[in-house]
Amino acid sequence: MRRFVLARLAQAVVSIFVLITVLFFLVRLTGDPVERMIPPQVTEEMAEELKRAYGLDKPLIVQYGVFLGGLVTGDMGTSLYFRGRTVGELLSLRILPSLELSVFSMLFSLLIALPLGVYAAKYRGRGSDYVARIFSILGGAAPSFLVGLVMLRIFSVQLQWFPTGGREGFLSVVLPTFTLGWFVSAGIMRLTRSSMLESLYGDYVKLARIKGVRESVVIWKHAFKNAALPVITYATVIFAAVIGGAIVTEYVFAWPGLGSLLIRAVIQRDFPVIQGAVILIGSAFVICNFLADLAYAWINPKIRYTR
Amino acid sequence: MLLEVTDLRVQFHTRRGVVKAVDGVSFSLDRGETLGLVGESGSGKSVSCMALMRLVEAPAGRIVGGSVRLDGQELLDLSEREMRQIRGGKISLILQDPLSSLNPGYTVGNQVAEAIRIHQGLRGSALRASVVEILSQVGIPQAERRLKQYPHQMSGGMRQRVAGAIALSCRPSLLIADEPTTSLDATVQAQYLRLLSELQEEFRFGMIFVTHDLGIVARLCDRVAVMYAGRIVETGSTRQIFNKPAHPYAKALLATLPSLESRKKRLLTVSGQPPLAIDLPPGCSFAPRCPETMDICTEEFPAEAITGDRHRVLCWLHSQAEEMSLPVR
Repeated sequence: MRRFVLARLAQAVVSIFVLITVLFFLVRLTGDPVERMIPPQVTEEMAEELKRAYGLDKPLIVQYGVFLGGLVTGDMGTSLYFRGRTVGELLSLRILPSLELSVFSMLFSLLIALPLGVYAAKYRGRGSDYVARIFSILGGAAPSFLVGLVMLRIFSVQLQWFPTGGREGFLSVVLPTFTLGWFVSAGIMRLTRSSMLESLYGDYVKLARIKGVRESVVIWKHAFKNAALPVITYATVIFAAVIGGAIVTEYVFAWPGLGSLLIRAVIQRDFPVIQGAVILIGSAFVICNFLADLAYAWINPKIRYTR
Repeated sequence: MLLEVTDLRVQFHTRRGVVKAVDGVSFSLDRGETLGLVGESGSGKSVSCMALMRLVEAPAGRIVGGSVRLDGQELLDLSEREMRQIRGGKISLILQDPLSSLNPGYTVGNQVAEAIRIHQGLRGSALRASVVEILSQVGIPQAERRLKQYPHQMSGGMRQRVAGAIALSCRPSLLIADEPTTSLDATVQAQYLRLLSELQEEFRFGMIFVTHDLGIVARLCDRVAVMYAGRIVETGSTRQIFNKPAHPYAKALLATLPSLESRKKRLLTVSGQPPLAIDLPPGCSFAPRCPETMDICTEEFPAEAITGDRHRVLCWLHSQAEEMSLPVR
């Protein structure tokens, strides 16, 4: 187990390194950030001076070296757009709201999607199956901005139950959670349903019934545990994606998350912030995948990791 | 009489129509007795067995009629809750494939314990002791150590013993074995059959043994029921059926058994295909394949002929001979 964790950790460091290297050069293909930093009438000399100040005049490979050197000491650089603020500072402001929104929406969607998927499979072809499938199709098909705006209109503007945006207090997280959670739950529900359909017809489920096990135990203890594997894989990937990628939802609800920071950074060619955000999101992916691997071992002892 | 099944009917509603998977099956079984249920795939053997436990897959499958009495108690009238007490308690079933019938996600100990906990209410160390005891009884060495193992860590033979342990853990009065040895290799198969016989001696349960293998039937079973297209076409003692099969299908089935004398010849098969249970012909279902078919066979379903002590046949050859005293063709 210890070796497995260490190997995984090494793997993670390598993949993040590759990720940031590719990214470092890719973002620089998008153009010169200085163009976005200054008004067009500024002289050539002033632009050159700015470039020097941010080290953008040096050859790419040197810039890359400086960037890596900074990373080792935990310094991700200074934002080009938010002058004078370090990337670390900006990210730390955004990561908490992002985590909060993604954790809440994941919990919400799992709470909805798992039972819905399980019982849709159990009662396949009957009323509850159709209700569950319609719920999931709507969640997957309705764009988040539409759902978000409709929610805002009804619950914030007309009923005034929730704030219209921002992140103040528990109430403010409800509508974004629902909007994002519904979208996410669509895929989880469908996957749960199809995976359950397979395991419900398994012989071990038959054997559980033969033993006289109660139907609810048959479903959750015997069938669901074996059906959960692909669902966990999917859910962790989605979770990681949602941490940095809930851009639309963040935008609609003026939620101060990573996604909106990243979008602004891309538009402004704010290289250090893009790099920092991607490192963060990449790490979230790696951590989530690692947790998923641990969950596999618990669910299916056949994939217990060798010492 | 331990088990009395009368006119059991199971139907499956499919898109293509109603499948009469079990179409009026009747048989009985004594304590300590073994009945071999033989027939081709799709003849309704497994469905009949699942129907005895009332575990036909709903909503497509339904038991539509008949009676199943265990120790005089009508099982088809019980509530689902009462039926759960019967399942795993009084009736147990061993499935065909030990690889897939054990849950890969739980230890062997956990899976054996589950039935005992449900039916005998044991907990803690008493439960553990009971699990170890039954595992040893089915011949699993070092049972104590095996408790924490997962199915994939065991061989096929061991896994099938675990399945046997689960089935017998609550001392059922009826054990149904649905081709339990098909997936085992020959030596392991022989050991397993011997084990089942020994356990039957000890616990005196009635056993229904479903199989394709007539060799096993000859060795293991007291009586045989031959199924064809959802019906038992012939039933009698193993001796009667092996020595003097009455139904043409039973004859054909027995003729497929290779023997040393016949090894120079080609292996025999029952010619033709079993009918689709969806559109059964009006007369005898076997008529299209029957070498001894008569006009009446395709027109009317044969009445049951009782040709001896607990020996029954569904065939015009015998019904006619018996009831109308007409010469057999």
